[in-house]
Amino acid sequence: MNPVVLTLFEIVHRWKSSVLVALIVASITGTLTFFSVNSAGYQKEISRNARDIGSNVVILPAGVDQLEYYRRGGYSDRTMSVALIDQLVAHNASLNHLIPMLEREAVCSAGNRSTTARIVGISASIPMPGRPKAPMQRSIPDGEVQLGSTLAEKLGVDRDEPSKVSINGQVFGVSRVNRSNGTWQDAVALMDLIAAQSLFGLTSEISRIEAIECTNEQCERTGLKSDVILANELARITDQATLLRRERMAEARSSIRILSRDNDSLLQNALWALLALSIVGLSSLNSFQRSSEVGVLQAVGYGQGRLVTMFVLRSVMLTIVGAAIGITIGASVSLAHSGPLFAATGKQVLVDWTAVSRISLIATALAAFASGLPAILAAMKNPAELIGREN
Amino acid sequence: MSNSTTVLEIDRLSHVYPTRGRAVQVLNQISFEVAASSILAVRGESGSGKTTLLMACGAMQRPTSGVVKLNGQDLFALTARQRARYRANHIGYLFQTLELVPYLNLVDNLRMARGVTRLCAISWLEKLGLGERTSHKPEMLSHGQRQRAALARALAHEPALLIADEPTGNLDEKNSQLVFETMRAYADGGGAVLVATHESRVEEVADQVLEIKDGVLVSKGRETNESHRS
Repeated sequence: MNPVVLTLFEIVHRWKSSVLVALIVASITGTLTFFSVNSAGYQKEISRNARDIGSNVVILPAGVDQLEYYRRGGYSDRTMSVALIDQLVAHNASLNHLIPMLEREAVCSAGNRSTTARIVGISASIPMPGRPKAPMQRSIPDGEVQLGSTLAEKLGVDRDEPSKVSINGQVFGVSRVNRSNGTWQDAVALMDLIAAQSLFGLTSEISRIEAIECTNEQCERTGLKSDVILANELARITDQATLLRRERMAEARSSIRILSRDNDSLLQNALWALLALSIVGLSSLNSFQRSSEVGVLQAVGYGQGRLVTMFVLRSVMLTIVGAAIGITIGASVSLAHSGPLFAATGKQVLVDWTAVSRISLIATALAAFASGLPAILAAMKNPAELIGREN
Repeated sequence: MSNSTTVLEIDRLSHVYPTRGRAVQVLNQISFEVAASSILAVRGESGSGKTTLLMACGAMQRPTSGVVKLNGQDLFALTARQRARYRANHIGYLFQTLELVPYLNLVDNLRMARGVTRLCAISWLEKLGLGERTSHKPEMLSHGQRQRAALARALAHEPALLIADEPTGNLDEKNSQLVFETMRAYADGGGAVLVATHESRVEEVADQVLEIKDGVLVSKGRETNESHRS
């Protein structure tokens, strides 16, 4: 009789055990799929939240008096060439989200109110080649400004009313009043970098570049600290700039990412181990329990190949059915819940078919191995050693 | 030693089970023959070595020493694969524990034996009074019915040698009678039968009875009369 037919008969006859095996495989592969699919979204969400902590590297023109810079709340009149951006990009510096800025103090007026404030010309964040990311800072349209909440209040600009402000005598529409975040940014007006350069007559000049360091890989490879790597890189690129590093922020960002990566990895490894143990346990148990049957089948002329095929087929069939159910449910649930889970990125995650294929293939291979090996060992014995044995 | 009608020839068969501490000798220098068209019964108490002897004769247990020949072929000179094929073609085995495949109905259980067609399987089941039970699984049958089904499976491919280990154990008189009659009929049709039992009634159908005790043939047995041969 055909081993496939025999296997199907056996699966149907022991349907409770078969359903239980398939359900156990389904529950673990489903959970693994859920975490595997969400893992991409989870890492992306952590990455986005870490990014939104803010830039942790500031590149200033060489010669800036740092004491004066800090005394004025992170402000300096010195400028440097915007061409430094191109140099950093060309040297593939260990940075990302480069945001060039030009800062000047100027008189702002709205209606009959007027005050001196810091004006920040800012461009959209510039990604490094090979590290494409969603922009950290979007561009501000020419002719518009965004006001910090404190400055808006000083000028009497209402968040919900369309307004205009005059800066150095030039009129700009207020596109947005930013919410208070408790920093110097509450007291500034943001505008397009090129518009600011034109307004202040400083074409191609910038006051600083803010960025996020991307030194993890190099730190692991070289054993050097991040600030050393960045300082060395900048020294090789130019002598017209100096680098400040926001140490605590960098550490916080790094530890968040490492912790989340390690936790994610630990959870997935634990699930893989559970999947492997379950499949190996269930498949081996079935083969061991049916060793008496192996003896009988041998006695009526079944060869080793057909015997092993029967046992492997059973485990593989049930694992494939279980994995198909688990993966379908795991992927569906994770897709349905990814929106609310990942509010910062706001995107629904996609099923990682490579990960799903890996789960199916490994589960199937484990089932084949775990059922095949005991079956081979049993088939190598004399039937007399197997028949009538209670397992 | 063997003649043209000898189907099974056992020569100085011994078997030792290695156990922790000491070896247990279950068979010691046993020799006998089973001819075609005859039934040889082996009697002995429980634990006397009957099942091991039958397993060795059925090529399912390699003896420690000695020769087992079936139709002149030394079974343990064959490779495992050749032996499995030879066993499937020439030996029918009725296990003490029956060992019907629980997920197959009776017809399919019989079709497990090599070369058995559906019609052939049904025919054997009908001969053993199981014609109404062909589509039933073993769990739906009584012990006696399962015993008869197992006998049908052992005979369906018409082997040269039928080996039956306690074929009437726990059977009522009617079923025991049917089993013995079937074995007798099979032998009368040219087959050779080796049966292990402790039931005295076997003498009514067997051509020769051997007594075994502690692995030793204590009585070469006696030729029973010819009267029960049909």
